[in-house]
Amino acid sequence: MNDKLAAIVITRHRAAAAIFSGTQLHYVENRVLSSAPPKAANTLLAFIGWLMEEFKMEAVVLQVGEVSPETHTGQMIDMVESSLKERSISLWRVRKTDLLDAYAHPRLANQKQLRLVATSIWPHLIDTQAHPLELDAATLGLYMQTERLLHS
Amino acid sequence: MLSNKNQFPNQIRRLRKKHRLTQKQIILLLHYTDKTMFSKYERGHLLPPLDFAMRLEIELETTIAELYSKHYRELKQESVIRRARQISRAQSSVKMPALTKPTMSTILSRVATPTGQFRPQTILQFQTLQIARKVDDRLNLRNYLVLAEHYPWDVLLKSFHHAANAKDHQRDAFWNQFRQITHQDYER
Repeated sequence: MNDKLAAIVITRHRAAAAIFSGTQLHYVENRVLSSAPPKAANTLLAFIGWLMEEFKMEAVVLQVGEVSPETHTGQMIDMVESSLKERSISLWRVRKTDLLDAYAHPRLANQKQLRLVATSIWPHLIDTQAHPLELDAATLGLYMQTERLLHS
Repeated sequence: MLSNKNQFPNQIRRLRKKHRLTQKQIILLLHYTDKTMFSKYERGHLLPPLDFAMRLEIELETTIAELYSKHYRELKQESVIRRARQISRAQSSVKMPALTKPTMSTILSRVATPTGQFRPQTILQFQTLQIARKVDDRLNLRNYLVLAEHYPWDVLLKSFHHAANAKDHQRDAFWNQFRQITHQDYER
């Protein structure tokens, strides 16, 4: 198993990524996306392309939520998926609700609580003033890497 | 000032040509007077001042990052390396708990919030929670967390993989395998 993974979270105005090697968080980064769809799409594709080249990624996990495919965010997620498929990159999708379920027992109620858990697991992300969306990407990445480890 | 030839490669000339502008015309558009300096910027002998670069950005309908794409990439690369180092330094400076073997009560007090909800504080605790979820034994989560504190992760993982292969009673399969592995260790 190639143990490198990029976890990517996309929202209407921002995209964030966390790079994992095994279960170790290696790097986090985010990009602001324009409210103009073509500009946002360009920024996002450039960001994904840069991540794939810079970190030589072969596996990606995307967070998908209750986003309708017709919305701007839904279309951007579809676009990223197509771009990754063209690059023959392994792709997984994880729902936000799965993360809320996985990061506590009984399950967490909301994203804010999930971010609090992230700061306990990676306290250094507070020191480096990571964006909240980068915390989301980190929790997504650890979840996926653990799934891969348990199912290997 | 000494300057190396093409020290700052850029797209000014290409974009100027794309907009069908001569040097004279663009200098007029930029409200600039010094043709020699413009030529030095264009040939990459010198970096222009910020104000000038921003005017170029407007007139050539581009971005500074695109105008100086190579220089921008180099700066970005440096930034990536610096941030990765910063994260790695921050990770290594996180204070680790004392290496004394925890007692049952200290483990239990650490792993439960006052409301009874357990939220992992380490990667190991998170992974242990996933094992308890997958063998459908979350009610006994504390037992798994105690195991994780006392035994190497490999033992838990091996026991889980064994349990995952069992179609039913995965919880029992996990514990049977765990006992088998640890019993073998004692015999050795």
